[in-house]
This record gives sequence, C-alpha cells and structure tokens, in this order.
Amino acid sequence: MMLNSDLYGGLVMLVFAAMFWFHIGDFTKFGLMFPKVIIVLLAVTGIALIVKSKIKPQYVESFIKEINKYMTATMLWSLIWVVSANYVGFFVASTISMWAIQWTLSDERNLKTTILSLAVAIGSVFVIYYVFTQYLYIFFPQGFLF
Amino acid sequence: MGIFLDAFINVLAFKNLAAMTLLIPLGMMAGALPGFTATMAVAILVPFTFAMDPVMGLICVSAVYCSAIYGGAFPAILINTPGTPSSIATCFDGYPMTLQGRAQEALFTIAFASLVGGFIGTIGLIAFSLPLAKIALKFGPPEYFWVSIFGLTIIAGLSGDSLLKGVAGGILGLLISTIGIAPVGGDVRFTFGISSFQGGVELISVLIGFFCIPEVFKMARNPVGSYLKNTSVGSTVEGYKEAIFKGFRNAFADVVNLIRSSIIGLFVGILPGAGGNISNLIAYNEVKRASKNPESFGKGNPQGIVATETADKATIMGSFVPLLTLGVPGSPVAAVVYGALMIQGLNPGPELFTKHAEITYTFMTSFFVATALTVLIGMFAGVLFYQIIMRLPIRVLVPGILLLTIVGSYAVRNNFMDVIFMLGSGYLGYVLGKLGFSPGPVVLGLVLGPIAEKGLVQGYLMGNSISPGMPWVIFFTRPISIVLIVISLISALWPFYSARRRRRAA
Repeated sequence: MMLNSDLYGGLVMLVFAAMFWFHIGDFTKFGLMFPKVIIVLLAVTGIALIVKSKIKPQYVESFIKEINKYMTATMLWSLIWVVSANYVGFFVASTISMWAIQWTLSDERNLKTTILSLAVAIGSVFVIYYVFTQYLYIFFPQGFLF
Repeated sequence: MGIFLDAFINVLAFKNLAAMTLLIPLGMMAGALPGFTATMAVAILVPFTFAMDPVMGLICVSAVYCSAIYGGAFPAILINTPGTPSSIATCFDGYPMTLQGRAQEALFTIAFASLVGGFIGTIGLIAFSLPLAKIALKFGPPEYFWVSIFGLTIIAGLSGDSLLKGVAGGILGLLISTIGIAPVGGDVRFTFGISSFQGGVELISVLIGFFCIPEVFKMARNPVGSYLKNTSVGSTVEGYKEAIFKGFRNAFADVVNLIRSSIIGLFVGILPGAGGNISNLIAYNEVKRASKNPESFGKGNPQGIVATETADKATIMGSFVPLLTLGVPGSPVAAVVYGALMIQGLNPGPELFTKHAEITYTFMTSFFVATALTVLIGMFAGVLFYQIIMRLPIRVLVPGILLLTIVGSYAVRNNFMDVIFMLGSGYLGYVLGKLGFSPGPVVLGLVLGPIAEKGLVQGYLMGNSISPGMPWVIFFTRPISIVLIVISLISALWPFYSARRRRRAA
C-alpha cells in the first residue's frame, strides 16, 4: 500500500498550525509579532502540500507494515518508561524497562538470558545513577519506590 | 614572537600536558553522551580550576572544551545521534557511512579534519582577534535577523527529495522555538497548560528525539545479532589501517573545503549567540553547494563530515574572540570561562592583552596543543567506541541507548518533561521521516528561531525609535544588512540556478 506523503504531510502541518493558532492568548504586540507570521506561513505551506498532493503527488511505502511486534514493544516500553519514571522512581522504572526491552528483543528466552538481562539492566542503571548523583550532582526522580 | 615562544613553553610543561591527557578522554565521554553538552563539561571542570594556577586552569578548560566537541561526533557517526548540537550535520553523511561499513573511515576523517579546523581556528584567534571582534560588534538586531534568514536559506540543502517539505519542516521548527517566554515582551506563550514549557523547548531533547529515537526504533525491528551485523548488510567492513589512510585522503582531498569551513566556523563562533550548532550546518550547505556532485551528500560523502567537523572545531576558538578582546561572552562556554577568569583575578577585555598578556597568549596557544592531543587520543577513543557499539547485541544496545537518551534529556534542566518531549519528538520524527521530511530543517528552524525573533522584534523597536512610522526601513538600509540580504538572496536562489545549469548540461 502506498501513502500520499504530501497529503499526510500537509495535514500534519495544518494540525500544528491550528494547535498553535488556538493557543494564541492575550499576548503583547511584541510577543505575537513573530509567532503569528510563522503560524500563517506554516498553514500556507500545509495547504501548498495538500494542493501538490492533488497535482503532483509523492507516494511513499506505507510504514505501518514495517512496524513489527519488536518495534511496537520497544515503542510502548519507552513510553511506559518515561511516563512512569517520575512516579515510580527513575531507578526502578529504568531497571524494569531496560530488562523488559531486552527480554522482548531476545531470540531465546530462558532462565539464563532472563538473569543476564536483569544483571545488565541493574548494572547499567546503577553506574549511570551513581556517576550522575555522586559526581555530577544531577539527581533523578525518586518516585514512591526509588 | 618571544611571547608566543614563552606561551608554547608554558603549555608544553609536563604538568600541563599530563592534565590535558587526563581530561581529554573525560571531555570526549561527556561530548559523546547525548544531552551532556560541552558547556556542562566545562562548568563541572571550572570549580576544580580555582585551586590551580591560572595558566593550568585555562589550559584544562581548552582541553575539555575541544575534546567534548570532538566526542560529540562519535554518536553522530555511529548511531545517528549528535552528542552535542555542534555535530548535527555530521549525522547527515557520517551515519550513512556507518551503514556502508565505513564507520572507522568516518572516525579517522573527522580526526584529520578536526586537526585542520582547530589549527586554523587558533591561528584566527591569535592573529585576527581584535579586527574580528570589531566587526562582530557592528552586528545589531537587524543584522542578526538577516543572519538567521541566511541560515534558513540552507534548508534547500537539507531538504532531501522535496524542497516544499524542507520549508515546511523549517517553519515547524521555528514555530516550536516560540514555545515559552517571549524574548521581547515577556509573554508566556504556547505552553499548552504545561508549566515546564515556560522555559521553552530544550534543543537537546528535540535533537535526540528527531535524530536518535527513530533510529533506535528501526534497530529494534530486527533485534537478532549485533549492530555491526545489522548495519553493514551487504558491505565489507574495512580494517582500521585502511581506514586511517582513507580518512587522511578524505580530509585533504578538498583543501578549499577545509579552509572555507574553518573560516565559516571561526566567523560564526565570533558572533555572540551563534555557535557550532549553526556553523556546522552552514559549512555543510556550502560544501554541498560547491560540489559538482551535490546529490551524493546525505548518502555517505566524506566531504560532508569534513566540512562540519572542521567548522565546529574552528567555532570553539571563534567563541573566545569577543570574550578575550571585549569581555563579551558570546557563547555559553565563554560565559562559564568568563566566571573562571574573574575568580582568577583576570578581567576579560583589553586588559587581558596588556596586563596579563602572558597568560592570555598561553591560553590561546593551548588550543594548538589541545587540538593535537584531542585528535591523537580521539583516534584511539573513536576506534574503542566503535568496537564497543558495534559488537553489542541489538537487544542490549536498544535499551542502552534509550537509557542514555533519557538521562541526557533529563540532565540538561533536571526536568522529566524534557524527556517526555524527547520521546514525543521521536515518534513525530519517525512519522515525518517516513513521510519524506528530513529532521535537518526542523532542527535548523529550532536553532535559528530565537535569533530570528529577537532580531526581528528588537530591530523593529530600534527602527521605530529612529524613524517612527517606518520601523522596517532599518532592516534594509544598514550596510551589513544589505550585504546579508544579497548573500541570502544568492543562497536562496542558488539551488534553482544550479538545477537549471545541470539540466542544460544534461
């Protein structure tokens, strides 16, 4: 299946232009001067892309097909990782997510690889956590676990 | 001449060389970690320099700064992630070289290019500091506005297959840059109810999101085997001896490119507010424009990485010109060094060249040695980095890179919203990439947005005070503005002229 990339690209640009347009608040003249021009330009470019999609469209392979189960799992775990780290705690969220991604991407899943993945996850997160907190004074969210 | 000889002897003292050798690998590690910028590396170092004598402290600063910028190219080449904003354009041809099994060649190419860029930058710093600083002072808001417009004209060179999509991406980047507090007027804009956005969008987060995250997702698609096996399908991976030879040949194949890129880097570095994040993109565009084979760029043309790495090394030295000559810190690192100089009892400005000339010239000369040592150590570090990354199984590399990107995005402002924004940019970057939008123009818009807006609004205010009722006239009447308008027009029209010429030749 082929996608008309100009059409979808144009729509994405229009969505962004609309998002920003509807968030224009009670700004001063100087605060509004630049973004207003840019929003209009983005909308015009989006429309130009849509017009081009009708006159001289550019097609690309549908990328939905290439998102396989490994990629989906990585995308989802990344999301869970960054959203949960603030609440659960960076150390625990990172260890679990790193382990889970390794486990998901492993071609053979047995006790040995599971323990090895866990060891790699704990080791990597510990080194990063230790160096950043002890030497660089960058402190990560503790959350309700750690 | 005697003062330079003394300066060299000072720099080459054993304790200084030992300190540099020790700090350079640390600087490289900092630069190679996405999100951990050269400014942060220098800021961490500065407190330790207070206990040192001024000469040694400043030499350590030059070593860490040079090596951090150098290290930023490693992840750009190997995993398509600029370690620092100065390596954005290094991804464009460096990563395709990795995909062709030429990663080591790319790593040695940047070593030789960096050596030239660093040396030309240092010569520029020593020989032309004062006149260059005077030119930089003539740049007011209207000139900065036109500099940003000139910067935007290079979108054509970064657009990939579709110029219209490149323009749209660039405008999207400009729009994202307006999130946060307005530079003039102080309005809090487009925060979408998220208080963390008041400080604006962090460039590093967007860089990581647009460049690195889509590659990580693509890597995860085929998780069996090592990175080397998966990235070099159908290619022969060359040995390092062959790679050194090719790297040397690549770097010196086009001497004009080396010199042009160094001059671009040096001059952009001098302009307060502009830096390596802009110079590497301009240098990339110029080498592409000058090439007889522009379509080979973005597909692993070594001249692309020669241009970017030469330019961003020369930018390092350029950024110290306004600080040392006028006492104006023109870059975040220069601002950190400003504080270090003050604490050492050295007042940045003309006094540095009279009362403390020996220290100042030693500092400037130290860039020669820092560059040479960085390149020497960088060759080994690059190969080591390559060996580690390439041999790791994909199932370990994917979460490992994700961990580093999360830490890198968080470390800039200690704000987890930046991490969420980074991942969101990654998803968006993946979709836009598949729809034929290059990440380059988006990032370019984001980098140039604040400069363009500040120049536009401040220029308008200036124009209004000089000629009320005709505030825009100021943008078109100042001599440097006129030169910049002409350069911008030539730059914008060049792709059309070039395409027409090629069509005629065919």
